[in-house]
Amino acid sequence: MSEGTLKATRLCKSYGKKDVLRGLDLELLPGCIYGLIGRNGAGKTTLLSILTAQNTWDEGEVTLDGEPVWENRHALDQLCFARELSPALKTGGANVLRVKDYLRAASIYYPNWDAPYAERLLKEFGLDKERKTRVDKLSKGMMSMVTITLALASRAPFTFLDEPVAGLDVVARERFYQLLLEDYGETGRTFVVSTHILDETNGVFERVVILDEGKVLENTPTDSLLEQFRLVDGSAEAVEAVCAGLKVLSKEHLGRRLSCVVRGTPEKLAALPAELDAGALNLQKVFVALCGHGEVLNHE
Amino acid sequence: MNKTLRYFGLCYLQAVGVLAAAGAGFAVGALLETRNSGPGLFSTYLTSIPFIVLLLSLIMPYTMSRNYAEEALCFGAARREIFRGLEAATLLYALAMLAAGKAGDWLAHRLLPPEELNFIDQFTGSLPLLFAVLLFLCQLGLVLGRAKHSWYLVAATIAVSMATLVFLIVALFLGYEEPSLALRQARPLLGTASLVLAAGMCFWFHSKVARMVVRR
Repeated sequence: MSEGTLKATRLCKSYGKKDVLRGLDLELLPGCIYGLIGRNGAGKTTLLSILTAQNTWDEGEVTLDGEPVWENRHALDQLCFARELSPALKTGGANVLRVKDYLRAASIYYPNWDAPYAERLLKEFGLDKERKTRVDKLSKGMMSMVTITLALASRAPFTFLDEPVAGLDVVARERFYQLLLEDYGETGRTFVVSTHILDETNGVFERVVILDEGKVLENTPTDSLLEQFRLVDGSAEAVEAVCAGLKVLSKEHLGRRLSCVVRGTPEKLAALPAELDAGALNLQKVFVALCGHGEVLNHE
Repeated sequence: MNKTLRYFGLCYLQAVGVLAAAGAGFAVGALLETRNSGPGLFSTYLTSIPFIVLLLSLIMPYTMSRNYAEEALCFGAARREIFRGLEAATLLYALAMLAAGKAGDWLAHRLLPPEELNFIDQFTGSLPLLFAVLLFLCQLGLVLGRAKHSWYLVAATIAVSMATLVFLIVALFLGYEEPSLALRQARPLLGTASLVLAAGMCFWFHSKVARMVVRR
């Protein structure tokens, strides 16, 4: 369904004296589920708002299939940014629209809007009784459900979700990821999901984009990223010896034992001695190792 | 353009609906009051309708347009479309307000004796249309324009607000029921000059802000 590649080149954005994006390069391929992760203030929301031409940028270029997205109707028709709605953002505007009017407004703008699907999602989330409730009167979780409904029913070839599971209970979060995968299986469109809750994303993100200090640290298939990391545990001498040829991201001493998070090629990691415990890391641990700058693992 | 007009139609419909219901209730109250016991509180306040409409026309686009424009942007509208669509929507809204003001004016003239009519003048009711558009343009520029241009638009908003006040005072002065002969003679000239000046400002801001809005 997705037509071309969405590309950001040497993107810079600052708010006053604060540089948020610093020469960021990113390429989003069609037909893929991306996880966008980064620490608070890493520039995730700014990046998403710029990729969808909702925000201005200082330098660089954003193109879809080679064409600039800025003020480009054809490009904008293919992009949907379902931003996080928050009870704190009572700024008026569409936040004061009723749920049914909010979705009607969305149907005006998204050319592929799937109204029956939106109805089905409202029922599924138990929001069908809240149709006449103003969006800013909903609970945080319900606002997230409205955001998800908007994103999924938009059927936009590139759909961006900013913190879609914030405020959702664990059952609703599971259901969201199921719906996401079902939709992806059906339409093959591109999703970019920004989230801080990584434990529940196993098997969902095909590729992961890690943002750190305004730059893309990784834009890799999730499996191949995870293959590059191991938590090596054993006697300090043995671990020190085997880690000599690997990039050590963090170290933790526990008596005479040593645990290290290491990064290397799959071949090097496969060659680790069998007597050492070298377990794979999940995405959350990899992210902490890459962006925690040692501050979490070293203090666990 | 079409999408944005539909969107703003949806947004404004609620506000216009509430105002229309309130206006209709007010008018019915005034009619019943006059029929039963002669002109009273409702009827007297009819004379204030053009002034209330003027205030609403100034405030509503100022607050609502800005928020709705931001939301339209989030729904994936292009800035150019928002600008044009909202401009048209604001104009239609101001016209609706103008019609409401005129209706109140007409009803007041029907129900009240001449000595109770004050501050009612067609010119007073014409101003909202112009200044609603002016203020809207400045606000929208602030939302959609680049941050580096904000200083200019803030200054422009203040300048236009000040100009609005001046025109408002002129309009009320011109609308006063017992002006001096000199003022009566100068009315057409002052009225035309104010309108031309306001229209010129609208046009200038329109072209200036429109360029800013779409520039990245």
